[in-house]
Amino acid sequence: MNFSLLKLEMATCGLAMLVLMLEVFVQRRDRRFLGYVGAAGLLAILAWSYCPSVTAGGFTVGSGFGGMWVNDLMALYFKRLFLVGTALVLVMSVGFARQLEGGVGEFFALLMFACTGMMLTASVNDFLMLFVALETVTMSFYILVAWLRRQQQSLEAGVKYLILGALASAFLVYGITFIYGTTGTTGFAGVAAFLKANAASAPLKIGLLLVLAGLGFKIATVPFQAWVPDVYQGAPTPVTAFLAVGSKAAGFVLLLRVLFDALLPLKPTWVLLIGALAGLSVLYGNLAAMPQRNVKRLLGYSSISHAGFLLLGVAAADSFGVSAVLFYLFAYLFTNLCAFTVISCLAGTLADDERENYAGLAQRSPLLAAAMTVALASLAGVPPMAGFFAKFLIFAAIIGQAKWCLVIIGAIGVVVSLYYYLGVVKAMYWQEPRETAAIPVSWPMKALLWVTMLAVVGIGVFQGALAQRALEAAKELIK
Amino acid sequence: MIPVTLEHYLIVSGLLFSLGLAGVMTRRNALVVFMSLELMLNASNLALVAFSRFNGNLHGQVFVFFIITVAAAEVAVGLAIIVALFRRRQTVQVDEITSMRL
Repeated sequence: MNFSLLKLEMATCGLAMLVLMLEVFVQRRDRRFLGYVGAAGLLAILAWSYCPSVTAGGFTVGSGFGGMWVNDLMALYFKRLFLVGTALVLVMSVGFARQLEGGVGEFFALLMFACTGMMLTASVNDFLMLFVALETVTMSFYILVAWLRRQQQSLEAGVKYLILGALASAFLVYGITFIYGTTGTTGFAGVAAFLKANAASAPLKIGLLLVLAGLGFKIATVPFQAWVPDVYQGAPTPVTAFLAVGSKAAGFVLLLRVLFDALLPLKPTWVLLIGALAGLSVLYGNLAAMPQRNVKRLLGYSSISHAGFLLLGVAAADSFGVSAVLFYLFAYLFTNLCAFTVISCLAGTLADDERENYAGLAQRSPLLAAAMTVALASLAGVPPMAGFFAKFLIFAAIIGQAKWCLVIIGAIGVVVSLYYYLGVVKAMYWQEPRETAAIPVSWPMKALLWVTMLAVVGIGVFQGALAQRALEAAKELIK
Repeated sequence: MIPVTLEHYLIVSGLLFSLGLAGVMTRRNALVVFMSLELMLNASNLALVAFSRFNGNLHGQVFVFFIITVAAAEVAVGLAIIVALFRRRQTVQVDEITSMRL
């Protein structure tokens, strides 16, 4: 029982409880500033994760708790991703706090509890641990999605997320049951050893498929994507952003761990399956996004297509493909947070998120329009943005595996996506605004916009360091 | 008297799971849908305990404790959301919550 393996998670959870308690002692009108306390705390934990005692040869790298828990470079890579993402979402939530009713302290605390769950998922090495970590994330999101309980859309999104999320959990648990029943163990290493020694029986195969279905829900891939558009549209904007960057990354780290640790002996089979899901997600996400008029809903469909692109990297199934996935998730994090920060800045001014309301945004607020353009260009994969290099790595990985069918589908997806991303840009720059009043942006939101914009461009131009770290992390997963 | 084997437990568990899934697919009342979801989790509980007994280790039993805990938390959160929906809309029929469309 080496609890020092868990110190980053314990610190994050403790910080969340601290914010929850501090709320009692803070005046109601000042409570939203607790979000900055949370963000600063998370960045401190991020800095701590670079301390020598946590990384190089220190006692916190390794596995523990009877092999249920593994803290390797990939786990650290994802934990840092979650910490950065949650800190930025917290800052965004402070700017959004006027729209949030009720206790904002609880809102911040739940974001951090979800972050703790995500950090747990990064180290999962056992199906029991997988279930608990995943539920920690999902349960927090049920509450966060339905947070605006006087707004019909938020409640509807909450009910839909609840029912479909619980259904996915039920599939996942039933799948794990069969895996346990046939192999006699829940550890990834034990399952892999069993698969190496025996052929997979029918109940075991059903179990594995059910587990993949449960994870497919989290990463929003076809055919488990039904919840995405409504939930993305109805949830409070910072929560949508967190779903897009955090929940998806948590799903992907679990998928990578399950596929490359537990199911490695079945690699030829799952490569075909993942490839098919990837192709379908890219096509469905991009084609269904074309007629969308609501920008949040459009980003929901775009999130399905990005799940497809990420799965293309998984389908390449070598260390280069996995490193492309890791890089992509970081690029996607800053890109999406940039886009959603713009949407949440507009939430107080515009009636809703319809594209018509974005007409002439460049005249009303040049900064918001520029930030949205940078984000959409990165999502579409226009050089020199981060999204371009991320897609480049993915395509390089699948071309390296000579999967030409997937390359063509991916290329079609990229071309189609330009149409609907540029549609929003066109509305912002080349259409006349309905109103001409300038849109005020508070300075913390301005800072957040600049940080995410610079990160998107910076990662795109100086991609070497991050790509190197992603490759090191991926090599540790694929020995 | 026939001895009770693993298969018997698994058949009951499979029936429970199918019953739950059918409830989720066909019923329109959010509360009944939610109840059916709990039924699906309990199907796993039954199968896990049976597997645990016949595998000869306790991993399955431990897993059941976690599932019960998570299911309890899920009910607490889920019912709160459904109650909030009822207060806002005066209905819990899932086919009536359609304000978001293309």
